[in-house]
Amino acid sequence: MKSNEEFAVVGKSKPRIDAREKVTGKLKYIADMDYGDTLHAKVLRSPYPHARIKRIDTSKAAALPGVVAVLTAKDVPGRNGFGAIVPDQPVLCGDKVRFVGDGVALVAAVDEKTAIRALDLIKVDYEVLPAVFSPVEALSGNAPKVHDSGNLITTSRVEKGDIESGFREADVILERTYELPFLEHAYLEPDVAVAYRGDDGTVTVEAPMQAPFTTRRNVAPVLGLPINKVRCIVTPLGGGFGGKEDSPVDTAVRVALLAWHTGKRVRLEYSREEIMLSTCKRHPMIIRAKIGAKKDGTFVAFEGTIYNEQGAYASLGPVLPPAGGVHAHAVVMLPGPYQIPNIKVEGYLVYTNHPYGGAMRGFGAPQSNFAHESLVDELADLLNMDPFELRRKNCFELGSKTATGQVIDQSIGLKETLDESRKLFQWERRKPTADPAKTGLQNKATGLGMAIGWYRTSIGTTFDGTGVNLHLLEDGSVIIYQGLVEMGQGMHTGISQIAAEALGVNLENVRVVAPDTDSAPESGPTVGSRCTTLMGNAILLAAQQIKEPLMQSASELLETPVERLVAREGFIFDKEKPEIKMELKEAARRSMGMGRRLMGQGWYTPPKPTLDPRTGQGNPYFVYTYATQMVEVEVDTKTGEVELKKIVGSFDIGKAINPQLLEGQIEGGIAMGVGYALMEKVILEEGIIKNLGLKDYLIPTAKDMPEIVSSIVEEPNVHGPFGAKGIGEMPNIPTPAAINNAIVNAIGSRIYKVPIDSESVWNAMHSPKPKGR
Amino acid sequence: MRFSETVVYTKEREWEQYLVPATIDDALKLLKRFKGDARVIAGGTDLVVQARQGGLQAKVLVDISHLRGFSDIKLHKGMIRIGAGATHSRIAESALVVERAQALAEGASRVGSPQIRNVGTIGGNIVNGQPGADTAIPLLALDAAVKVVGTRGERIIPLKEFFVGVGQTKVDSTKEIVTEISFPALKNGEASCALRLAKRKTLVLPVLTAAVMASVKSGKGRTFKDVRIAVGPVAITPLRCKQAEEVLIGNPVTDALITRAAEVAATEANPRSSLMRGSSTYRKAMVSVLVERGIRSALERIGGER
Amino acid sequence: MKEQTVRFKVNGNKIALEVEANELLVDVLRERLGLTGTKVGCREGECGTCSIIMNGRLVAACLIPIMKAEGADIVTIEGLEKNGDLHVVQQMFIEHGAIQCGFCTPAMVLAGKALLDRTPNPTHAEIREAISGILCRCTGYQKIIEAIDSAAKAQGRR
Repeated sequence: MKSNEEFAVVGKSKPRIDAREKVTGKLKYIADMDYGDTLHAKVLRSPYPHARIKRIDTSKAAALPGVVAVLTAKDVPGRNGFGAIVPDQPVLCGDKVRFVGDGVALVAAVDEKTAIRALDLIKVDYEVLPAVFSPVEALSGNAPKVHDSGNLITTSRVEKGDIESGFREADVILERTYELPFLEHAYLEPDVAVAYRGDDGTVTVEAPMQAPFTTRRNVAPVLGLPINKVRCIVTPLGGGFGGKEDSPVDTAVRVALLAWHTGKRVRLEYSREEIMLSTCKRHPMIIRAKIGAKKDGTFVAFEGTIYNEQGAYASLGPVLPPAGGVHAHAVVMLPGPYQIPNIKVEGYLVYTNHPYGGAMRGFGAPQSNFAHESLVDELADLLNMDPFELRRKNCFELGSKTATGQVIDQSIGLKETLDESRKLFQWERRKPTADPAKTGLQNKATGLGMAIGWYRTSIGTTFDGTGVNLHLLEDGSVIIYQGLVEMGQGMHTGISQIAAEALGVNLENVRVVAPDTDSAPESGPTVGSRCTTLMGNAILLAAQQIKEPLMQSASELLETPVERLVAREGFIFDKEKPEIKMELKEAARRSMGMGRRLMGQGWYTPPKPTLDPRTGQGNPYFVYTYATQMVEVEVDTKTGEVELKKIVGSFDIGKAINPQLLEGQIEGGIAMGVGYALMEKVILEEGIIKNLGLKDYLIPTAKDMPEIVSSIVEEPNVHGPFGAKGIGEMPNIPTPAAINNAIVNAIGSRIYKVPIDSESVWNAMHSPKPKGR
Repeated sequence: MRFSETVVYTKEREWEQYLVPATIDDALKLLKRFKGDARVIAGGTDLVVQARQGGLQAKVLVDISHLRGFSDIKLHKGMIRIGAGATHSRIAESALVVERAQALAEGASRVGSPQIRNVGTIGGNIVNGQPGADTAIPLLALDAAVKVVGTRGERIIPLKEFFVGVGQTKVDSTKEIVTEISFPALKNGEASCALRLAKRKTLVLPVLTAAVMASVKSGKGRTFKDVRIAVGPVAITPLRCKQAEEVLIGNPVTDALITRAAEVAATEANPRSSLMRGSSTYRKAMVSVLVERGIRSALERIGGER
Repeated sequence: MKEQTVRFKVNGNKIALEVEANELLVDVLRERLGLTGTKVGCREGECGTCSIIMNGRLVAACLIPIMKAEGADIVTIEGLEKNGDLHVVQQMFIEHGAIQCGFCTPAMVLAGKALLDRTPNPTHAEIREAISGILCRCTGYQKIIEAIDSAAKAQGRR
């Protein structure tokens, strides 16, 4: 593995390629674009969590001056259903509504004001049905059925060894239940979509979307069109975090439907409250976890049950064989990155009459991590062991077998992340967990805590491919056509660096075309921390197809054997006699003149994932990223307020293509973890969200964040470009447990739910410490 | 709160005219002319949000934020007089307020966010009538009085009588204008403190705010000469904890008494259990904690004051 | 609705517009003046992406009725670049990697400028305070604070 000094572009903290347009305000997001005359669309939504639609009367709304179209279920020409995995969500509900916010009718009018007025004129007769709001209740025999297929969507399992004998061997057993709520992505840029018909029978949708191909394959059947007649153009994203994998499918099918009917350009914008009301969320889970260990801390058995609340529609919850979807992922992740010989995890994915879960940064892992890292930490207390030592003793290393029997045969730097964090954080400062019964508590109690985590790169499905068309133009500039999306993570910069390195040009010479399904090859969605790794590999494959003829031309022009030539930073030269050189752009121009091909197409699929649904064994994901995080808190023991003093994180990410961008992902991801830990929750009562809007749904502000110190460990991934593997989601995964564990260290009592607000800390201090067994 | 009351779509802003009078009299005349269809706007930070939720019926807005003298912060004969149009930023930055009414500077510095503090006014904050308003609570502890001007002249309303219910005060914004808030500047031997408990550090409504004004007499040991304790939101209006004050007034400054007073304050508060703010048990417990801390802080400041 | 005339300065240019009284500053800036660098994120003054500098102070444009801008001196993000040269705060944002999705960036840059114009040597705590009314979901704020800090130091050296 080459070191960074040998690379020209990769491994360098190059400024992101879109920095200037963003910092000057010149970059236009979709709401900034001038689409000329458009109709304005609004969605009429169900006020009930579960109800039958008896009758819809749109006549008064349609008659309102300025209203151009009012649509209901009967107006859907094709399939009245959409969904990222299963199309179980009606574009417009015909027979019944399944959550507060479900779409019932669409209005297009000359302006927003008129569209909103029209909504008020639509009369819907509902017959309210009993609703179900908890996954446990939904699984009981007489619970109301959200869908005719029943409330249990799927059961996933992972099993290894013999759990009964495992627990018999244990000296200590600990069983706990954890609860995690719905979370909102709260990307700052609201959802907007614009659609229009072409004269050629096509329909185009423009929106900030993470998954243009998923969107396209949903719009087409809704309109009864072949996929090649639908075009999805990705506009710059003001944040996504998984939410914009799903929400643009929702806005796209609806706005496309209106464009189809009216023949006009239509714009659909969701208010902040509407986004929160109706778009996908992080799945709430109830996780029961049980661990058994020997006196010396060796883990012998792990058992877990996950009640995974899907909400009203399937979105990204169900299993995409073999190991795709939030549910399968949460189940595989639950035992944690630990060597445990006997494991059994069973998870139930359940419909309820609540808003629905989709992809949110971590895709099931944040929930599972909170459970296993809280459990292991409490076990450490029980065993009277340092939680660091207990983790280091049992965690994965080269050769370890996961819960699914997968052998970790490469790219594992977990122990290094532990050791790095320990040094940076000075873990030795940590005092034993407070015992208030003995010593009482000072006004302010300091606590130090930690958590580790693992996370897969990419999505664990059989169709996990990514394609790119790469062109070296006659002046040495480079164009990349691909469908993965820049949403702030710096992905377009990263792949530009990889392309520049691979071709031997400078970063400034590379342009990534805005993703457009009309010009980009199928790339899959921008999710699962897959982009740099998979697209990077695809680019390397494509680059080879260009390098060969290019270097052949250079060889002829320089009269030097091709094996001696190197392309780097815009020049091609003889590595043994560097004065024999030419400008790469000249070689490109001459190649073209010779009729040589300077374009490449790369298609990369990772090693095939396997996971047997009966045995729960296989290799579900081809590589994992690992992390350790340590947190110092100060608890106000009178109010329960938690102040974060310092967070340290160390991440094994294979290879940092751009260290500064990587740090940005770490710091931002940790901030999201802080929110999950301390303040974020979609508050629901009888199916109604009580805290719509950013006033009452709280995410961390600058004053809530402490200093973050991060370190990078590089254990190269043989399947990754330059050794890289995914980073986007890992940082927000161990943070909540690390914070919780630090709080426990400070006050001697543990909390089993997030968010951990001051009242829950106060309650924990005032209630007796639960017993271990 | 039922679904029909949640804001999903922006309601239209109803006002059709926006007038900026030069003097108070002109402002009052405009209010009178429009017979209840006009109302006053100062900073507008609450008003614009309310309009979006459909809570504002006015057809005409009368902007009073630029009236002469309306934003002044002055010391006059031992009284601090703050124009109702003074923004929270200016109040928080005012050396006079920081020195002689620290609780108000603290409260003002915690309203919303810097952007809101730069535009929102003290007059708007108290007229908005929220039981936990960040300036109302310290002003109550400072025993403030509000000057209200209407077509029939002016009246002075003590702040402790000003609030009538959640969002309701003795002022009718279609007829009258709050022009000034005043209170005695604190002297030697007096100090104040404001505290806030919330679910994140800023840009959030409080779970609880509390403010304390304490004045002590030295002699053989210290005695409480006067104490005023205000907390909110624990009732439909900002609350003065009179019984807690009685525990201290005229009595020696002792730890036991301070703790007792804080406990009594909690019994005077009646917060409901709220999904947003927390259980009534917790909120009551926090009243004691904040009141106790407020008293102790104020005492500490008396030591250091000028 | 009868229109009213409003006059103010934006980025040094005098503007006079006929507006409807119930328009908001953020919409006038974006729709009428094409200054789309100022964003809309929530319309409630809770996210800060609409922040601009008005009479030297950072304010939320989504909360300002347009007539309140009469006579005001307004600076938006578009006003920072001069003849192709970026403002020092902008330069530091780029250098420090303080930009990710970019949606909060104009507001954060203006908050930095507004702070440095009044407090040339701010502490980290003062910087956090200055940006505390703008939400960022991408960066965790750390590089934004470092960028503004660097800008202060760079300005001090000039």
